[in-house]
Amino acid sequence: MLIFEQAAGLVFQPYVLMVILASAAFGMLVGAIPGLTATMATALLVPMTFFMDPVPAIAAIVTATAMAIFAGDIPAALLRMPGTPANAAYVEDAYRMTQSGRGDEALGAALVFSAIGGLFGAVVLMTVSPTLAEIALKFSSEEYFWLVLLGLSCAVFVNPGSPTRGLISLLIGLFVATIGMENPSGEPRFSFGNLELMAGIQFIPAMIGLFAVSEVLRTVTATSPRQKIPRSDGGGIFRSQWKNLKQYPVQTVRGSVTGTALGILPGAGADIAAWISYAISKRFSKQKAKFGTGHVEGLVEAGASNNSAVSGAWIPALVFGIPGDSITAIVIGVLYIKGINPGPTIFINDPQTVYAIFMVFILANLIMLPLGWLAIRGARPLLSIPPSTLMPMILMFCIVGSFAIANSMAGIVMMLVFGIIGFFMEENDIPIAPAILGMVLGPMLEQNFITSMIKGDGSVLHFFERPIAAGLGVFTILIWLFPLLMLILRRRSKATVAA
Amino acid sequence: MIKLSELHLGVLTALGGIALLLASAHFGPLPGQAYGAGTMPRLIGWCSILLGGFMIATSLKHLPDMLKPHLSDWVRTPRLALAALATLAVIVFYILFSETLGFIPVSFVGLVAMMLVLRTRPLTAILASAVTTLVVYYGFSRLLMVPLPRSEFLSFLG
Repeated sequence: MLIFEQAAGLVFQPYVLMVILASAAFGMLVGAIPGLTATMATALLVPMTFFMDPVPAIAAIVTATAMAIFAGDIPAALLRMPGTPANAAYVEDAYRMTQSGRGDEALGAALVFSAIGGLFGAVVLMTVSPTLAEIALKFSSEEYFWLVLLGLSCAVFVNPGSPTRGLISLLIGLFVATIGMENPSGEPRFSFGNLELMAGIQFIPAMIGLFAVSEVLRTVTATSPRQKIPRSDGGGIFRSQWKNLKQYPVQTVRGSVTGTALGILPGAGADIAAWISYAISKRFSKQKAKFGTGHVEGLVEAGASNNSAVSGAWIPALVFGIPGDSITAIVIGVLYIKGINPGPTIFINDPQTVYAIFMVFILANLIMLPLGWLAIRGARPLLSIPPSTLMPMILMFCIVGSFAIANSMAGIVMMLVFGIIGFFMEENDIPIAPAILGMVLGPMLEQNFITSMIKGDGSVLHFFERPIAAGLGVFTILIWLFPLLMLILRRRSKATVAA
Repeated sequence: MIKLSELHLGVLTALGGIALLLASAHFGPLPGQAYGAGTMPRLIGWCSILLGGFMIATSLKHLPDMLKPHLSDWVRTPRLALAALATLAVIVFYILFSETLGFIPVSFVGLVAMMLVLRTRPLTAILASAVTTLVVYYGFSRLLMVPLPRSEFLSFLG
């Protein structure tokens, strides 16, 4: 109880509440601008959080992320342009609802079911994390090695794109993580005598480059023209939601459960959760034909799913120090900067911070309702700002944000380099998320691999000697074998057809 | 930008792997152990070679299509190519001149130039750039205490 009171004391302070409100507004702003993702909101926010205490810093990120994912529904419904990739799954339904005069109902459903999904995920986070942390305390380097490899594997194979390109991205991230002196023997690697590189790649400028600068480049080089924003249809955004909730209770719960589960899975995140939930919704719907024509059912399920995934992704991040998605990958970097080591011991050494994070999740999802209502009302003028004015402004924030991390020009140079790399990757359909996970998890993978190899005297079988490690190992190997198995089956069925 | 085929990416990945193996050849192991600073880079190198080889092998079936790299649509549109260049140029301009000229003039000029290249109206560009520069300057340098580069002749601003 004392810890709970201490946590409440950390959260319910005027300064923290103000940070929550400001970051909610910021998340809404970024999420509502098409093309700017929730991850970009996080990356842009990190330089600000650098100057805050841990709880307001985490509160800022949690709130901004939840808001950004919801706010992405606004341009999706009004312009047929999903604000974030997590809103892309049901963009057609949301837009067609607007076209048929039900825009406020679509946006209301997105808001209410996002909040429900987020609250569901937060409750699971609060109840599951402490139990998992107790189990994780018994983990050794072998279990961590497999967990990290499992996370990296999921990032590659759960991605909707080609696994080979996902692997390229992962290898880039793992290579970047090897730069500098932070390795088992403390030997400088690939630093070419440069002092800045000896300290390793600065994570946050790299992040800003990969997500924000590449996005600015993508937007300024976009060939398709912008659409006009339709007028409000005058219906209240909350008016139909009680009816939707009564009509689609199974879809709401199923979306929330699927989202949380996919969020927990390392490497998967809100984007994938929304797509899978939309597909599930369509598969089990009695009105399959209506999907994609302005039907609210898929929006309810996928909307609940993408926001619950945000909460779910924090479970592996807090319990194992392994990010569930690219946002929590950035958060883990922030926690380390703040001197907090995510992992099971955080529940023993810093329980008040953990409970404060739980409270922030609840708070962020509750204030989403009034702020979301305001955002929907105020979004039309914001969406009218042309990218030709907005993108240079964002670029200046990126430059100063990268400089602010170490007060050095090296941060801006790194941002520039990673911005070009990120743009090249996106142009060639190479996903960025596996590279981010590689950068964050690379040192952990290396440390646990080398420790386990030394402990096992070089024997690979040592990785399977403990029961949980063996289970995780077999599961990871199965994930790697799955595409190969599919290829063989496909070839065999082709051969049968040909015969 | 060039859009590479599976074959090109495979070749690049394999070459990257070979380069990594060569560059990590001199890393020594931990004292008394078989593993050290070179273990991980070498593993990444071998994985890259295997992946590159796999990509090359699987793309050989479609060889004529795979040989020719494609250009992105924006590269062929001068206005959009210039926009991409302007974005990068603003960052380079900031890196080169902010220490000597200070944040305010470099940010303002960079923003105005980029907005004009992106075809924002001149008056909007000037106003938006001025507001952004001042908000960023006061936000970061006064509220967050970030020592942004300062110029002597604009020192009266802060």
